[in-house]
Amino acid sequence: MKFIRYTVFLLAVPVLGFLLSCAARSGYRLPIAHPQIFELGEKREFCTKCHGYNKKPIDFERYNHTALFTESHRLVAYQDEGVCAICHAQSFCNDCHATRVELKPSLKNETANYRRIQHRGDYLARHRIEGRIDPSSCFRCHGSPKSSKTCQSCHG
Amino acid sequence: MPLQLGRIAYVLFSVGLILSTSSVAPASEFHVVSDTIFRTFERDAGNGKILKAFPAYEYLQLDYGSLKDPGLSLHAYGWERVNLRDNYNKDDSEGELLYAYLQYVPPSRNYQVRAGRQYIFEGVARDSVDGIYGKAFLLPSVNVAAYAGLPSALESTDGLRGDLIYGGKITHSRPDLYDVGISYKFIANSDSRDEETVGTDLSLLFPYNVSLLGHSAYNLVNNGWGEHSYELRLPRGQFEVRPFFQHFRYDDYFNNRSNSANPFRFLQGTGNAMTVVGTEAYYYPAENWEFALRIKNYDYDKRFGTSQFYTLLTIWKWQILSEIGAEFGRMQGHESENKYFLTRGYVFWNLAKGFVTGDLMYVNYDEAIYKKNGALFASIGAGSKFFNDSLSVKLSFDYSNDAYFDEDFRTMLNISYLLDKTFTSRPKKD
Repeated sequence: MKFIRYTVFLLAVPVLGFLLSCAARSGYRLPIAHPQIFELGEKREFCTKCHGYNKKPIDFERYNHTALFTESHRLVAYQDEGVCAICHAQSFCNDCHATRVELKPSLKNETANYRRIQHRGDYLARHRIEGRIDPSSCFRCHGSPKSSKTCQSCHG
Repeated sequence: MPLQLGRIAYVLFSVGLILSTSSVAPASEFHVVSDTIFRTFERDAGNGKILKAFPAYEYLQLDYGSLKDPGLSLHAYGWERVNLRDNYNKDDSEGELLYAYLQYVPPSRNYQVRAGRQYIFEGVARDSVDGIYGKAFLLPSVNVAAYAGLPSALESTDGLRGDLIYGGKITHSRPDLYDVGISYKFIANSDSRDEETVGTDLSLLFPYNVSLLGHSAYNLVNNGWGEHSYELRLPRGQFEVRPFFQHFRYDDYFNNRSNSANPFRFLQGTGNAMTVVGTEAYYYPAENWEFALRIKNYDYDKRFGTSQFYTLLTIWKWQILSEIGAEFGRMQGHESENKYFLTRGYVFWNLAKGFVTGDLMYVNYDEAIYKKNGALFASIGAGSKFFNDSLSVKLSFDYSNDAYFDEDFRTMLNISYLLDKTFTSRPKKD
């Protein structure tokens, strides 16, 4: 039964993809990469500075990197990860969202203090409190056997 | 542990050979980002013995092919640690190949396919997959994504036999009105169904730039909603308010099967549920000032009483890349062991040829942790760029005095190397 389900799924994907691509003849397509002329320096960026507040073809206001964006970007990323990928390679996201990394993100990006990256300072002590209050936020990045390797020396 | 970066080099060489002989990529670009990080610190082993750590990390990203235009391209990234005169870390080396995949996008950009190890972000999927991924546009307003392969997070759990991950997402979008997506994910470890989830993603745009964002996830193994997260965005000139609502049912959000981990396994089965209600608020009185406020109220069905969290952050920029920030936070847990005050100040000062940074954080716990009532963290750093910004050197010093570290000094040197090279196509023969 599982084999049949897997096979049907694998066959359906390319067939469906081919039909879909034949059918799609118009509409906006995201660029592969952000144009180089606007290459960004080391700072948080507000997309609306250049793109304005128009809602077509993309609601750029949604992606403004506010002071709390590092902690609260997940709902916009869920809508379309492709928009994030125009500016950020997967390696950028992998500082936090990865099968396994060893350096905590705030340490790997030690001098990027304006990004307010997770786990800065005494977080090893503070995570006892925040983990009790909201374990769901820990689970998103440390929830798999490999991504929790940094937890295992204490939590088993 | 085999050297993971060796794997990247092998994959790059093999696929680079294919790409270099391919007519699909007329102008190939080669992009390398290398971050070499050296750290030094000491640890007290508790028996009077001081252990010295001197690890060196290499984070290597390689991209080759058609990187800024549609076409065929290869992308790889991984990290490796080796210990240099080190008696603290147990293993001589550690590492992980985080991704290595081939991607093809046709000139029409109507679809995208990838093969190899990659991170999938599609609705309920935030997983690393050794397999294939495709995304295509059905109509101007509909796109479909699908993936299948081995879940790389489970490669060390009972071997690879019987491991499987597959899923996808279908999204209907009207750019100025709404996006609605339905996603699905199935994970098996050793032929055992570990996770099966269906999720919805939603964004709605209303008049006056008001918008609603949301995500819900339904656990098909337990037949219950694991998560509802919704956020309303109310911009008004220099102000924006973002009230949000989140609800997590632990039995359906967490997992006690082999694709989960120990700190979280026990939460599945507690029957608890958490509801978080709060808001973010932003105020921009001038282009160089930012104020941000976050308030959260946590409520539980079982175990704890309510808790609140408050954060106030203010940022002043005196140049385009230079800023000073100050933050005050309060975790008001139901019990004193879950209460603390946090204060933080930082500066990032961009100079003509580099930058200087400073960071100071003090946390005061209402109830001492390992006999420490507070934690102090300080960090200073500096960096500079050379050779038309292709080489960047960053040096930082940290100090910690907290529940886990007494008078702890650490040093970190980060050497970043960036290479961008474009290979133009061979002239065509008439």
